[in-house]
Amino acid sequence: MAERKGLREKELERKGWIKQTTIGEPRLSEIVELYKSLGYEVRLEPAKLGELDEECRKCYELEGDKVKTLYVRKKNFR
Amino acid sequence: MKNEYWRWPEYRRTVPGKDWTEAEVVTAGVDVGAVSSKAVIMVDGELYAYSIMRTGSSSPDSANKAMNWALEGTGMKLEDTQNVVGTGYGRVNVPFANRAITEITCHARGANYIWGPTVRTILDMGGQDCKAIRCDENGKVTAFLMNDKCAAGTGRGIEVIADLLSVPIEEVGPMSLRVEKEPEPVSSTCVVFAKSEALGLLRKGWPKETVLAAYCSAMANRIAELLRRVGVERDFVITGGISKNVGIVKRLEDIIGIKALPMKKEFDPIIAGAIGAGLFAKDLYEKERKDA
Repeated sequence: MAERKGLREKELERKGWIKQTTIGEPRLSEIVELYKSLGYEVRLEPAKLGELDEECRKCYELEGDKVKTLYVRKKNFR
Repeated sequence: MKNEYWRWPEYRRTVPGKDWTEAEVVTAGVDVGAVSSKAVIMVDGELYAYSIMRTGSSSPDSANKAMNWALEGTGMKLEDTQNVVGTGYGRVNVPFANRAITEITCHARGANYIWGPTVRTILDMGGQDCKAIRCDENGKVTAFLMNDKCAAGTGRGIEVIADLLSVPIEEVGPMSLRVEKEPEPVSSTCVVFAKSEALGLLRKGWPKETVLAAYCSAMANRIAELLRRVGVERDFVITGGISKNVGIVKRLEDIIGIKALPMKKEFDPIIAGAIGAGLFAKDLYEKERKDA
């Protein structure tokens, strides 16, 4: 997915959150479960469709708000 | 009838020289993927039989069909298995499974079984997604990364290009390597846009080999980025359908500078996830028996 780094992502990065993927169900629940089992905190943000290239945006719009961007952070992050 | 160039071979196999009736534990793993469904039967933790077929419109039907095909000719019935684990995109829709386990977990375990405990990085190139997985010597996942919701750079993308160029899917990889000079990669591996881009290149007079090379190259670049983010440690292996596409694998190896371990003749790399599921089924059965 072609994407530019947005302000929100930069803000989250400063707090230790690392962007992993933008995805919908049923994959989303699976990877949330797996990241938690590996000792990560998980954060889901609405997918920022405005930051996508037009060709990608059209596909993502079909799924509406079901698609989320997943960020992880090690539990002991300070 | 229209030729279906995308169609990959569906088949079943029983490993010769094994007698399941003497076994202590018989388990099964069923991996219902977005594009293919795989069922394996494990006898005392060893691969005994398996099937690989296209996933239909219903995940439960696909799971049933794959399992019945794996059992075919073995004299075994589903009731003879002591535990079944479902995995893959449709893992919660395997009607006869006792439990569902995520496919990333199962792929790591399956790769550890197929290639051994030295495997540390697995790339699973599936029908509609791609996962880079790191694991320990026991096949336990230590880190992973999945591609975004997009079929670009996945098996479905290759199927579309095979059909578009009227090239049998098994030929896509070898044919893409028959170029004297590597072309620039196509600008997008998006399944929707790749079609128009590929057609444009054909109209410009590019031979099919060159168009395929440009497409395989773009896919390899995209997959390499996923691997770069998760980090590649040796031994490195590739599972999933695209592992059979030498045009993508060779280019990917060139980009990352690491060769994948060769495929094992006796194991189709498509069934790694199902094997992992079958092994977890055995572990769970033995744990339940011990706890009882």
